[in-house]
Amino acid sequence: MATKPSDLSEVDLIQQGAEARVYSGHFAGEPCIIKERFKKTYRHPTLEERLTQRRIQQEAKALLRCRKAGIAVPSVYFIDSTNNCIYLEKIEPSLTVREFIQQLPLPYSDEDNNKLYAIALKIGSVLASLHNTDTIHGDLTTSNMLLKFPHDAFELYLIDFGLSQVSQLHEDKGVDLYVLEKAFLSTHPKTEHVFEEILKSYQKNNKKAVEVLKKLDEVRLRGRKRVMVG
Amino acid sequence: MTIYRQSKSDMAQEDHIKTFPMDVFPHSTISVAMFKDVRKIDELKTHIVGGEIDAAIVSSRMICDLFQILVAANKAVNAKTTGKLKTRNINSEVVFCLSPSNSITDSLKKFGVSPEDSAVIAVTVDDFDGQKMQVVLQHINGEMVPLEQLHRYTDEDTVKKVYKINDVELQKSSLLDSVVTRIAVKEFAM
Ligand SMILES: Nc1ncnc2c1ncn2[C@@H]1O[C@H](COP(=O)(O)OP(=O)(O)OP(=O)(O)O)[C@@H](O)[C@H]1O
Ligand SMILES: [Mg+2]
Repeated sequence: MATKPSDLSEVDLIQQGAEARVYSGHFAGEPCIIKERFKKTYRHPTLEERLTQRRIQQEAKALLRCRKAGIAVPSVYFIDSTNNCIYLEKIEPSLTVREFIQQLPLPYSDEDNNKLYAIALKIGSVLASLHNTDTIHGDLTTSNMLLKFPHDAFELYLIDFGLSQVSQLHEDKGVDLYVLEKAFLSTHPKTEHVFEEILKSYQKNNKKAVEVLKKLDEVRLRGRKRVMVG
Repeated sequence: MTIYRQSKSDMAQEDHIKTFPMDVFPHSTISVAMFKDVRKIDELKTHIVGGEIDAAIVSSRMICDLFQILVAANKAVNAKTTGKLKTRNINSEVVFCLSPSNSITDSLKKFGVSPEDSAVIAVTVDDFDGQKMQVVLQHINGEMVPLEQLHRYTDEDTVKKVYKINDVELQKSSLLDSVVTRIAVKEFAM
């Protein structure tokens, strides 16, 4: 049986969440990220075990699907089904989009706004490609996007596909964007102009953008109504 | 990078055998050696089939990096330690794990050695005293070369074809990253 990540030598726990622990370590000499999923509660052990397994499989499938479509995602090194772990290429040096935006002081200077627009352009086109291949991410947030800085250029990686699914429905794509909008604007105050750029870039690059953005509008309206009704 | 131990030996050639500890299976090791100008592949195959050779012997055309072998070997050891071997033994499992296909016959045919091969790679698992590789040396009619030369023998077009990797994907990924991902996720890919 494979060693549990917590028992591996030279690993660092980099994030402890409610459903997963994320470690930084090595796999066959290469730096890697190890994501260990665990059950939330023990009320339905067999059911939850199956759900945990499903999420790892969904993550693996989506990473392959995206990679085939030319979307930048980490490569996969190993799936340890005994310990519910997935071993991924470590994207480095990198920052999450969240970390990148949060380090910029408010109000944004013109220079910082230009950086934000460049990233927005990239996010929009990556999400457009993602949806062009009928992949729904399921948990789009600025923590689930990594910026890799080789020189002065940057590459945008999508990560954290445990809630992903395959769907052609404009509605599902609209909800995906809605989840990001909510997360984006609540995590990063005063970035409405940046989010607008994401949508513009999405529109330019997605085949069904008109239909998807129409659904986004409907979902927004529903969201607001739900809040009003309480 | 990877830490490796060299096998104990008084023959200079054997410095080319490299042994790698595994992070996830600390009690296991993988040893790898590469040979060029290999002749009499048919004889070699009888020794593999006959079971005298306790090693996986693979065609180097399909291998683009040592890391590809380590990823597949790790997967094979995982199958063994969890009682989930899909093939006869750990050696055939290493060959099977290298392949993106879930068909055993197809995998062994494409990744095992064939008479057209002249460069081959031998992989042994848990060869703690180096004996398994010694037996390989006795039966292989070829010259051992350093693993650094591995890339010279890769047939990239065949690798792309067998692993079904297209140019769109390679805009954002190295061939090696695409290959190891397919190896790692193959049972979930369909
Ligand atoms: N492949 C990778 N390369 C570099 N860093 C990574 C990689 N994967 C994850 N990380 C880092 O670990 C964090 C958590 O990873 P991930 O989002 O996959 O797990 P999570 O438990 O769902 O996290 P969250 O609680 O943010 O949703 C990321 O925000 C990122 O900082
Ligand atoms: Mg996350």
